[in-house]
Amino acid sequence: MSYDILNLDPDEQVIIEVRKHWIVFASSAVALLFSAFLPFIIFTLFKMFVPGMLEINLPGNVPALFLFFYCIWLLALWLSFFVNWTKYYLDVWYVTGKRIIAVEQRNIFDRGISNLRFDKIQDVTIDVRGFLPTLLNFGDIKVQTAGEDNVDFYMTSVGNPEKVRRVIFSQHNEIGDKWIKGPPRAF
Amino acid sequence: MDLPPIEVPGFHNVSLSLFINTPVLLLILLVFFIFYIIVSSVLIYHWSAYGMKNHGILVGKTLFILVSIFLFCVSFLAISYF
Repeated sequence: MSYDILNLDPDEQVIIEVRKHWIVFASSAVALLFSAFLPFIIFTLFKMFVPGMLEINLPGNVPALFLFFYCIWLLALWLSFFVNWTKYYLDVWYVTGKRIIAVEQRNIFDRGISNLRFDKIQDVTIDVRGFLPTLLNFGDIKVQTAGEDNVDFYMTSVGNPEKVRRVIFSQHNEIGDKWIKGPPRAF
Repeated sequence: MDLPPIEVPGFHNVSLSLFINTPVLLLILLVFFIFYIIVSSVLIYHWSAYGMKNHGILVGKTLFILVSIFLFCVSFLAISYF
């Protein structure tokens, strides 16, 4: 792993990477897998209920024609799968010893990076609601800031939110302890 | 007043040879290929720039490229057999 793009300080280390739970990506992957079989399902339904619709005089080699369109369909699904994967994988929070770096990959042409220092954090709240989130241990996490601009960090369906909350609080407390022992000198 | 019944032509009378032929299929493949290359380039740029040289990204990239090449080859072969 190389975190060059995050422009970390020399003494700064990434403690934890926070992503959405895998179920978020898996549900879209299952939908795409189902879509891969959709042409066969539609064909079967037509054959059962409206066989007359299939009596079209198609020119040339019909199986080759179907194979061609099916490959195009699979390519579109394959591309869609990796667009979803990119959105899932690159939408991440890096919790370092000094701050939270939130990388928001909203779409493939929509990306933003924000920083939040631990001394600005006021509260971290988690929300695990529903049967599946409780069973698989995922939920929403919100980091509230104390500044005037009051920008909150929010991520939905985070895997193991309690652990994330604990790490953020422990780093927050560590920074607080350093301040009590002696605040950093102003230059 | 009795209106004459409307006759809908059966689908078996429809001939698509004007719209489905080898040059048209090649054109469809070419247009789709250009679109695919543009989106793939953006994805690969994201993986290279922001993927932090992660092992998972390298595996994903390899899988994506290999399967894409395979499916494009099959679709081209399908046209040649058409």
